[in-house]
Amino acid sequence: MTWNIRFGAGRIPWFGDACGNRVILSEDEVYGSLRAIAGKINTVKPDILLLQEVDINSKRSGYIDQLQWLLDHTYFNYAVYGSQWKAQFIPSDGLGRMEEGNVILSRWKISDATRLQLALRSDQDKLTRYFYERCCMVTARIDIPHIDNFYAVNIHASAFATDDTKQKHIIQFKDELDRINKNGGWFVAGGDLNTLPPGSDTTDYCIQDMCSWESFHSAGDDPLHKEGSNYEPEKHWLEALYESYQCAVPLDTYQASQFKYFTHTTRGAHFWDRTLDYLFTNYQWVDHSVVTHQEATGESDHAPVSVLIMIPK
Amino acid sequence: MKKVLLCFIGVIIFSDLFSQDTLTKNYWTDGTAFTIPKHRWEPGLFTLSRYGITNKLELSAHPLMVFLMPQVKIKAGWGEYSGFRLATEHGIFYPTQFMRLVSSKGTGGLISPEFTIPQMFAISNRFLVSYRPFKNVILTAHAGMTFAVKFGPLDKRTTIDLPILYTRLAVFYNEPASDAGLDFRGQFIPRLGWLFNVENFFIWGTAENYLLENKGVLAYTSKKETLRIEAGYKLCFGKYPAGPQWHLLPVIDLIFGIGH
Repeated sequence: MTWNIRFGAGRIPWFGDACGNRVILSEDEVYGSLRAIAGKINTVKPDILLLQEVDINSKRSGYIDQLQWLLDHTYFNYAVYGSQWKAQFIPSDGLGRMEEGNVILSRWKISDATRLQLALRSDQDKLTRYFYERCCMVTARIDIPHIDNFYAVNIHASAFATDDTKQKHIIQFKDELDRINKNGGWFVAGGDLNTLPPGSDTTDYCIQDMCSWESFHSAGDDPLHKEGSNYEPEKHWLEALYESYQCAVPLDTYQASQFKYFTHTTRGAHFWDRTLDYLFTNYQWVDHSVVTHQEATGESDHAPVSVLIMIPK
Repeated sequence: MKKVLLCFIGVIIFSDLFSQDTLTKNYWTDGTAFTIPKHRWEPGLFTLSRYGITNKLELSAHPLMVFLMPQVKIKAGWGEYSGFRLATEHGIFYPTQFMRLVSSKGTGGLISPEFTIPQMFAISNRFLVSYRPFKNVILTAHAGMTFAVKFGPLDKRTTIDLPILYTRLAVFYNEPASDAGLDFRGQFIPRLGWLFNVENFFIWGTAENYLLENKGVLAYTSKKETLRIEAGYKLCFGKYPAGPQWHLLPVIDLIFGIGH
């Protein structure tokens, strides 16, 4: 299963991604979201779980170690954490300390964990970039009994880059999968790729995501598009991944009824309106086993996606 | 370690034999039980500026921060008994304006603008005892207590979790705070002095209840005692909301001396 848990913010209108005015959440708010997230995990019971946006010591989420909390409140005993955003103090909007990352949780022992740095954004000034997140990918070998070359790969690609940074992330992701594949390994890989599947009916969400004080698509608007909401230039970026590996939701299945596989929305009171979260393997999914848990509307601004994988012999 | 300590004491004794007794003028004695002479003014760039109202009463405030985060202190000298100089220091500190200023969106926002900062101030009282083990060395012990008065609730999520700032503002989120420390200063040669101090802050009513600051500086003083340049370090330890942290910061200051 893959899930961007939005640092335990649930659907609170956070200033950075939901046109909100909230910055620092209360411990009660975060624990409430974590309880809901743990409840969902304990219901679905995935064997391997890829989480994005897990805070372990951030002011915005009450300095709660969310990874430890989830280990304490689920059946998982093994985890690996890769730092995505680490700043002792961000002097902006009251953010303060930030420690957020990507996590792989497993029923089985984890070894050979690696954090792979992804390209930095080039569309930010140097000061902003200094304090900004460093997107990463986490890989780890999952020691499933009798299989010694099974890997999990977890990525959180850039959400707001307006240059080719996100494309670089996707290329780096595929390169890593190619490397594992070439070395005879099996993998389950996925995460929040922050881009749409090829053939999506809607590729521009600027108007849907627009805050009340913003304006896009009109003459004189600068920028013309909202950061992170215009996927039009990206519509072919995932094609190579789909061609090389099996996506949990095959492209034709997705294209036939896209709304069934939507996993994200930026608007607190709205249902899912786009697909950003993926799972890929170089082996074989169990047919029709993928579930986009669209009923999980309160835990995060992303829906979890789970699927059953055949275990290679 | 023992050798280093012996060497240090040796240097102090040696320098004491051959140096002039400039410290007895009570210049550059902030942090001790000595008060500067009447009408002596020592404005500092970063530290509190001091003014001698009388020979036993000293006023200090920060000239640059006075409109943003005013802090005013009065130090009263209570004389010398068996070689021990006694003083008390009483201060008032008003951080509301500063906290409201940095409670903003975008760059420079140290506090989230979603919170309201109430009117509030803190009153501090400190007792200081100084002793001169050598002619040009002052050893000071101090202890104090700070109380905060708030005219509205202050959300604990508004803490600025940075060294020095967190330490000064912690009292507003908790019960009273107390502090205790040692200050050790002297001169190697007439123009070159040194300072080493340790301040412990105890915050009541919270798990983040202990902070420490250690400062070590070398100071050059101009011949006419009109300028003092300090350079060194400040080592800070604190139990912050995010957990225990150490910070090593550079210290540099210019302090001017006017009058005598």
